[in-house]
Amino acid sequence: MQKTAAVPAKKRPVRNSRKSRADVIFDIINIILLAIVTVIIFYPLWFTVIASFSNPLQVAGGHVYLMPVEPTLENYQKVFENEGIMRGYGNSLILLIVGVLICLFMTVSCAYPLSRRDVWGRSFIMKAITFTMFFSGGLIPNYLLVSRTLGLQNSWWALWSTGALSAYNMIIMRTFFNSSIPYEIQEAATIDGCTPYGTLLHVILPLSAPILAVVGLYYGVGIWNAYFNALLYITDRTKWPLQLYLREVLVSNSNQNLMDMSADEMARQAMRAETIKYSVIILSSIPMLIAYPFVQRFFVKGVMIGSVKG
Amino acid sequence: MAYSAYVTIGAIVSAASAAGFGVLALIAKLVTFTGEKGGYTYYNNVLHAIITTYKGYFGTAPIAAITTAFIICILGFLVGIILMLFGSNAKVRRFIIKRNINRNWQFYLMLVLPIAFYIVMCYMPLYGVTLAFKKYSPKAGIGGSPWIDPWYKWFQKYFSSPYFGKTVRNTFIISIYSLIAGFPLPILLALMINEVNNIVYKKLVQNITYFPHFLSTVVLVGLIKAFTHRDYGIINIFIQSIGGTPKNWMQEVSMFRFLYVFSGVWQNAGWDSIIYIAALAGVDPQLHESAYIDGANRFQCLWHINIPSIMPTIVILLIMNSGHILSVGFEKVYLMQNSLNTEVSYIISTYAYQIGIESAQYELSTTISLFNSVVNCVMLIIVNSIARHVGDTSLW
Repeated sequence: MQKTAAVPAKKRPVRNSRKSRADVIFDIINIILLAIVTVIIFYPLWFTVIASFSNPLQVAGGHVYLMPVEPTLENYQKVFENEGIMRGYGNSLILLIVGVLICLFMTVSCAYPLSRRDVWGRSFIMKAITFTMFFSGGLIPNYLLVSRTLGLQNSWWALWSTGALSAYNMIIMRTFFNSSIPYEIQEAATIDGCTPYGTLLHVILPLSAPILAVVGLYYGVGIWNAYFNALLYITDRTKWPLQLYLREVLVSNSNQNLMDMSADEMARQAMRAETIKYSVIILSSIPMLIAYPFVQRFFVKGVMIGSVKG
Repeated sequence: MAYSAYVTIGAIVSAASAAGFGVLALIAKLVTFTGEKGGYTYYNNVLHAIITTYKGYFGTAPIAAITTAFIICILGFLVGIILMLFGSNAKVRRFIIKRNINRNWQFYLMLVLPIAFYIVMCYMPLYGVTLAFKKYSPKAGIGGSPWIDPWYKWFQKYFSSPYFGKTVRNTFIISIYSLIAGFPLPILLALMINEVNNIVYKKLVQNITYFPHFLSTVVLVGLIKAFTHRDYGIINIFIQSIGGTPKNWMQEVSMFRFLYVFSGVWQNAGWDSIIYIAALAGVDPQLHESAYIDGANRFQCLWHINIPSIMPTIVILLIMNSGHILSVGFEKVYLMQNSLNTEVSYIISTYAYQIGIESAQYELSTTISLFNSVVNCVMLIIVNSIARHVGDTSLW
């Protein structure tokens, strides 16, 4: 892709006054098709929301379609009573906050020097880093390194250190530093007596809020949603992140205490268990829902910067 | 700077690194010290007590920190020695002045941690790939383990196992399905979104289609399970209401691939379209204007201008996707696996996990991963060379 693509979209020529018949038909078909696609994507999400607020029996009976039926907060109350989910939530919040800070620190301190053309050896370092994007040791060598050589088994540092720096995000940030911050500003700062650290703190970082938001979001989503590394390295239940508890509730289907009940009671219990899942899903996505409106306007920009360098 | 300044700096840096190295070695000895043998000095006892307390709070994390610090010390020591030996050399001094290193040394300081990260986290596991040709002994570690006699022993074992054909076939089929369904749809979506003139509608569509990308794999599989639940899932309720028979989709062998691919498309089609939307935003509007004057309608503009304009992007992404043809992600398949669908849900990465982590056959698992990355690499090269000969876009 060419760099010209980074130029914001120019307004398409408006031709409302001279639309031909074919164009009108095209427009209508296009809008209808898009509406169908959007509904297909939106409905499962919407159903999750309304089901989480509805009476479990109504959900299981198939009476919930468009709006919550017999709205209740009972499902959420049940989730809050679940000790595992709450503990996982707390663990994941700590993992998220510390993890994003570590990641941003590492990424900035890698990307900034590599964006400077007066740093000697930067093309070699870039090549060495790009190499790691394509070749990695694979599952077992990484596992042995982290759990045996580094001794991080059952420590959150295993999660923080393995994901502390992603080459992809580093390249995005470096490209931003290169293309969006004029080199002359940095030179001016140097002439005015700024050290490299000073330039970074007083000139670069204040100008790079959008890229910090995008990269922080990428890291944050990655940390919040990851379960594989925790599955490998964290065997102590009390240290599990939320996703591992979610896996138990949502996927592994542990219906332990259904044995000593009547069939009727059992069915009702199973319905409740099914509906609680929707509330669990909504609760686990809250951090994402909060962050989404703030960062969504940077998406296109972030992906664009990443794609310029392929 | 004075003539001997670099020599002095070099001496200080190397001395500090060496001292740091010594302290680290002492701490490392104490951290890994099991405390079985008696008779250490009071001083050692105190340090040992401190470290065991520390261990209680943070697990054995210090070892990782020490490993990183070791690497940093080695780097610092090398730089210091080089400066000390050659700091008085005119050529070296000229080099330092020319590259502005005397003013810019802080940049190199910033790079120390990231470089240590890459050495420890990315390059050290690369050495571990040699496990595919070794007999692993936990005591000796990867480096000290003996090489096996016929070097291809693990490969032979993998290729002759019944799981080899099954996992490769399953991985390949899932991957091809995902590519066929998941590759064109984002392009279509981007072309459609690009044609919308109403900015509010456009934003609405974009924000809704991007959102599923942010759901975690666990949540996605949880949603699939909830929606396809035999008794209470909305899909089965719907099927029942139109007179069909409900079934547990997650346990149907025939539904596994469909559910995998469809949920993948549902989750990522919107997000993957961003890159095409961005590419479409870069199309020169003058092309559209002149086409309109020549009598083209909207569809013709789309067909003859928009699609050719984003062709390079499409080709590059196609090449990159083909490079992952044998690397279906572990996370989703592992969660969707159950005892009834193993026939189609055993793929290379879950097999490597099962062999490596669950049955602790480290060498065989490493062999499987190695085989997988070699195939991916070869695929990437083949597809890229095809693209280079057929069209004029390629990765390299």
